[in-house]
Amino acid sequence: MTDAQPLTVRARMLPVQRLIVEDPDPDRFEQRLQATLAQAPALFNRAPVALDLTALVDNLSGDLLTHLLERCWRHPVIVFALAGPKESLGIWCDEFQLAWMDSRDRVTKPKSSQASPALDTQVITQPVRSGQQIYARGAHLLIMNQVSAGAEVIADGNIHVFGALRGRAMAGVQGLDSAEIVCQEMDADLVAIAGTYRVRDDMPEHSQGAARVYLRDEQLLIDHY
Amino acid sequence: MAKIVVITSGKGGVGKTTSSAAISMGLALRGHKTVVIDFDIGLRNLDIIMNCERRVVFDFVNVIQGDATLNQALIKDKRCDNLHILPASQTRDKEALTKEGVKKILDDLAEQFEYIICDSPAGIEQGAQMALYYADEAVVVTNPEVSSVRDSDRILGILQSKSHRAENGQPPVREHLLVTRFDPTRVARGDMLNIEDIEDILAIPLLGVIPESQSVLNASNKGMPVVLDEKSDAGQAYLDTVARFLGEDKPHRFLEAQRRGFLKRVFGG
Repeated sequence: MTDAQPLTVRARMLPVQRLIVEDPDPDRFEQRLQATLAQAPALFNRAPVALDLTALVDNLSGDLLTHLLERCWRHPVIVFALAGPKESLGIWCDEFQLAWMDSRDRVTKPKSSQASPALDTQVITQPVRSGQQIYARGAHLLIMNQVSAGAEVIADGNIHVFGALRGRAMAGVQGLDSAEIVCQEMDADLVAIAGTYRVRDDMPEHSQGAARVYLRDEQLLIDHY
Repeated sequence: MAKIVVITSGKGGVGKTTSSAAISMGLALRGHKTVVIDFDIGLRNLDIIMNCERRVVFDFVNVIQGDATLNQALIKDKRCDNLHILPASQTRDKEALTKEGVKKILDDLAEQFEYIICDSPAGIEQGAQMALYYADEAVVVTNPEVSSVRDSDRILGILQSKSHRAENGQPPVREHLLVTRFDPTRVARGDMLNIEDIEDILAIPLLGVIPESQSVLNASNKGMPVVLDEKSDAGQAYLDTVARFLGEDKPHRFLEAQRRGFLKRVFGG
């Protein structure tokens, strides 16, 4: 055993809930808080939360902040930070010994309703043989030949196979859930769109011929033509 | 210009060496100066099928490493002057082959021969890749069963992507399909894939269909390429295959189950 260190620092990412306060009235705030906590008691039990005061920075006072914090202390959440513009909140953070947090969302999730970004097209004219893998990065994939069993064709956009699809096809692999797979002859080992997949065993029997594979409500659907 | 032809399959035991022996002998019988190279270093079989295993002094690896000249290692077939064999080494492994070494030998052989037949080892590793690397044409040997067809598909992919022609943007390797151990009775029963299915999956032109035949095993045991047994159906099918390879138009035979005559049924046959 090594000697115990007086202090060691370990970093860890913590999920933090931000409580966004837009109404300065403490009673209505507490009502709303209580209702929220009732919906997910386990999530908020001793959970570190930040009060997002972006909407209130202009008329923030020591009294108001004291009220809000007192209301929070009656409940199992633990307020450890204020979130919002740093310039305005800095003094209050110092006074109440709270941390400060950025209130902007760093990761913006692409919405599914968003128009699909303009993608390139990659064209393959030769058969894609067993063991070969083709990835059309940032592109649609157009295959003018067959895809053998054991081959893998992957695209960020759509996949069109003008021949038999016997291998695996994965479209929209970067999360584009409006991507589709279309082929002349459906005999695939596996099809996937934006991570939702179906293997051969889960596809309907005797489902040969041209087909279109697409995603609706997180269900992978296969239409035959 | 000599033509380099690889006989390959991916899967083992489908008849690569038998086909290499039969096709090279067939080409030699048709008057073409032919050499057949055994690329299966460490597991050499071709010399047994060609009945020259007792005449091997130097081998492929000796020539690559400069221990012997090419002409010292080449063995002339006793039955046909046009045919030579370059045997594999039994004591080395496939890492002894290098691209440069193989190229040197193929270049030297190209000066003397019209056809250079490369008998590939099974698998898709170094040995098999060396055998197909410099090929101009490929005969892909397949049995009518799913795993064999799948492996052939894999080797076709390697021909398309990892051959010298593919890497240097030259016209692609010409591919031919050779179905061996074809048993029409079992195909009719649905136990085996039929020719249309195989052609559909592999999508390359059919060069020949060799029926499953007792004569193949007999011929290998006797050290005689099966084309020399002209009475056997397999021998005839290989001769047809060679004729088609040389550009002749021959109908495919032995695709239907033979109806056994009354006498044959009574006395066996």
